[in-house]
Amino acid sequence: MLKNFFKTYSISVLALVVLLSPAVLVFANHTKGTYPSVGHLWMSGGTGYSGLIFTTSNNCNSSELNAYPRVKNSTTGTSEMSRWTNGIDMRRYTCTGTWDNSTDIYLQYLSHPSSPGENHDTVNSSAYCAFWGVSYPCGVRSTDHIDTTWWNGQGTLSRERLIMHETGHAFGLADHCTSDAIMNNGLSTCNGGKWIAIMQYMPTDRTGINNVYP
Amino acid sequence: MTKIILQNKINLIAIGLALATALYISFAVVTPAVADSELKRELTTNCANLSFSQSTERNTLLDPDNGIVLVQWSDNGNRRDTRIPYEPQSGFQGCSQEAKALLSHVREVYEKQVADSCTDFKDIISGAKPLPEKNGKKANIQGAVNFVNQYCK
Repeated sequence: MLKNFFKTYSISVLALVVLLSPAVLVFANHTKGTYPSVGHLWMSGGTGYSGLIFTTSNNCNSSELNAYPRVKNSTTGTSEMSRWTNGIDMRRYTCTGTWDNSTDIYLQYLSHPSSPGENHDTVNSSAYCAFWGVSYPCGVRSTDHIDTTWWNGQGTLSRERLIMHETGHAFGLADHCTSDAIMNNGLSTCNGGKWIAIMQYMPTDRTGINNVYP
Repeated sequence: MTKIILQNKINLIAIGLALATALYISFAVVTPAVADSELKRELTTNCANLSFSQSTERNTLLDPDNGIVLVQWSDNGNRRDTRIPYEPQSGFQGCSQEAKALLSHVREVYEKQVADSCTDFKDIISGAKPLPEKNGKKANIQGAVNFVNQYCK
C-alpha cells in the first residue's frame, strides 16, 4: 500500500521535499541558519570553499594564537567537512581592532557583564559583496565580544575554549547541548557543563558547519 | 495498453508539477505580500516581550537593510530564537528595557563596522591603500565606491 503510494506520488513527494528543504535546514539543530544569510567561510562557494578567515583583535594575545591551530587541526581532512580539505584556517590579520574590508571576525575585549562571550553578526551589504565580486547576499561579518572581567579570572585553556566557541558562532553555528561539541556553552544545563573537557571541533560541530553552507 | 500507461504517467507528472507550482506560488509570492504587516506585528510584539530569564549568552544577527535582528540565546539548555525590529531612528520605541539594551549594543557594533569600513574604502579609492586580494581573489573598486556613496558621510 505504502509502496504503491510512493510509486504513484513520487514526483509530488519529491517536489515537496525540494521545496521544503531550505526551510528545514534553517531550523536544523546546531546552526543559526544557512549561507548566504549567515556565515562566511570564505566566501562560501564564491571562492571555492576556502576556509581562510582573517581576524582582528583589540587585545592580541597568545590564547588566540593557540586556539587557531586547535580549530585547524580538528577540521582538516575530515569526512564531515570534505569541501574544506585544508580545514578552517584562521589567521591573525591585524591587532588594531578596526575593520578593514579583508577582516572577517573582530575579537573585541570589553566589559560585558551579561556573559563571558557573545557573537554579533552583521549581514554584508550588496556593495560589500560587489567589492569581492560575489552576488548579494554573501554572508556576514562577525564581532565576538569577550568580557574582560571573566577573561582575567580564567586559565589558558578556558580562554582558548572561549575563542573557539565564539568564532564557531561566527562560522554559523548555534549553541549545541545534546552531545560533546565545541558549541556546548559551558552552562551546567548544557551537556553537563563540559567546557575545557572539549578542546577540539567534534563531529557534530563539523557536520553543523557543513549544513550551514550550500 | 502502453499508450494508457504512458498517459497515466504524463498525468501524474502534470499533477506533480501543478502541485509544486502551487506550493511555490503560495510560499514565494502570495505569502510575503500577506505576511508583510503580520511580520511587522510579530516583530513589534517580540520586542515588547523580550526578556532573558538568566544571565546568558545573547547572540544576534543584524540584517540592517531589512531592519531585522535575529536573537538567539539558551534558556536552561533549550535554544531560544526570536526576531525583533532594528529601528535605531525611533530609539527602539516599544521594546522592553532588555531589548533596548541589546539593540543599543547591536547598534554600536554595526556603526563601528560601517565607520571603519568607510575609512578603509576611502583609503583604497584614494590609492593610499592597495586594492586587497584574498584567497586569490582581487577586490573590485566599484564596490568600494558604491559602499562609500551609500553608507559614508
